Amino acid sequence: MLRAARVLKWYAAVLAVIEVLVFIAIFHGGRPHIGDAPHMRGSQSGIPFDALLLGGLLGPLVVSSFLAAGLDGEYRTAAIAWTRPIARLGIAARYIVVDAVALLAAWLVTLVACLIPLAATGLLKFITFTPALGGKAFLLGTGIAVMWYGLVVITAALLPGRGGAVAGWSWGVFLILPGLAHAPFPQLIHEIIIALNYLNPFAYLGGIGSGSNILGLEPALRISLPWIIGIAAVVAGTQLWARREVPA
Amino acid sequence: MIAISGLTKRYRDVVAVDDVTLEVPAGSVCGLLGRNGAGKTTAFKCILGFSKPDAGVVHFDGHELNTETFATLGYVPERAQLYSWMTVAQHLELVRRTQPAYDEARARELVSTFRLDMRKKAKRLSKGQQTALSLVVALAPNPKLLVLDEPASGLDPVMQRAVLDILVEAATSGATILLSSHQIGQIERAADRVAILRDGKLVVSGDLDDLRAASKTVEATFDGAIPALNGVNGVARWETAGLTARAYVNGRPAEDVAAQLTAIGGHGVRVLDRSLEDIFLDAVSDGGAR
Repeated sequence: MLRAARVLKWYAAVLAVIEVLVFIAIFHGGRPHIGDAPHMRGSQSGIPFDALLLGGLLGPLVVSSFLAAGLDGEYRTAAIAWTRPIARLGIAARYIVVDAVALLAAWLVTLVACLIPLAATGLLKFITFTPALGGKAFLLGTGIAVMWYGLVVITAALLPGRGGAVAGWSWGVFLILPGLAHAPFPQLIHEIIIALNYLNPFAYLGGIGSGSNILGLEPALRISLPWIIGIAAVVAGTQLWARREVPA
Repeated sequence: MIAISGLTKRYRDVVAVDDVTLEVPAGSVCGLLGRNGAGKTTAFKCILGFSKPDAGVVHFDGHELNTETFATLGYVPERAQLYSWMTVAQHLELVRRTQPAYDEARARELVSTFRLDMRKKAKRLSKGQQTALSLVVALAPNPKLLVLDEPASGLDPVMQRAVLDILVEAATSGATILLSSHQIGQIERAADRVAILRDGKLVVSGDLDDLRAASKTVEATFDGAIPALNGVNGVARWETAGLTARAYVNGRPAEDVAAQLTAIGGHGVRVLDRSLEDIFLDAVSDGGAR
């Protein structure tokens, strides 16, 4: 619990600094009220709530890799962590439950952080909510965070003691892979990159309604696959973790 | 009781722990000695399930290690393994939540003995204080079984004495204790049984008093020069200084050796009791295994 709270505190602190910078930028030179601006009156376009939901998912995405590395680090405190009268899988399950709550908390905090500037500038009333799309956006975003979390858990379980490095490298790899899919490589390499992108949470991002993305998957599959991969990786990763040995 | 039978652990070609069989009876303190790399820490890891042995089995009070064992077992590692960002109080809270037998009064008493600041984070504690916190975490639930790997390392002499007193007190109350230390004096003070590992093998084990009784030093002084000593049988190791020869005798009547020394011209022949350090040095020196 304290471990997750620590990650959330750091994240909230960084978010607070960004929020202050946003406010400085907005209110620099007076108090704007964009919602009452002549061109916004009677505007039909609005701000889709599902876009905000997806924006809020930046929170779980940022913290998921940090949280996922925590389980790997437990062997460093084996004297305490593994000498409790709790089965190792039970310890892992507690970790995952706490992390799941922390991911949701990160999402809520980020969503609120997105809404505050909108409220301050009078744009809240322009938010439009489409229930089906909002739900799908939420499922897609959380699935991507779960997938990232699961991939770090299983990779760290395969590379014991390197959880921090795995979490750090995951950022670079996941951010670069989608870009490589658009690079002019020979067909074979292009196909390998596309195949690797199936294991890249960012590759599942894209429009919810119909929009295409680099994987070319139907929205329903694009929403469900990250969840399936993420949960499978968490289950397999915790099984491996529970059987691991403290290094010699 | 802790019963270890045929414990073996290999790391590729290296046999870190080699067929170790050892019993620590209930209420007894067994000191595990060995040079650096002798396999003590690896043995502890196997005993606690942190490392999977290639062979052998460990029983705690008649049961193989399982989740419930840890409700009555305390462990102090060679190097403190604490949550660096957590305070002393938070560590104790973690133990309180997970150990059913956690004794708040005992924990406070230990914190006071080791003069730990409850508000201090583990990363801000000195090495000795971190060891002390590890001891508090292990001892607060009043465990019936204690496995301690260098429990007094980094502590000042006053704290070392306090730790040994705590261990003796725990054993008097019925706790079974297996501890390792490089400081033979500590083992001599706290333990009633001793086991010595050499290159992963258990080369000596038994009751400390029995080992001392079976292990003597025979000292003799010679006139002129010390004659050739290789004809004297039953000696584990020789030491000579000036005209005095000192024979370290294990497992044979020391009187036999004394008689042989007298026969080759030794005078003032004395049979002396030996310290644990002598027994240890014999066991870990070349040709000392028995």
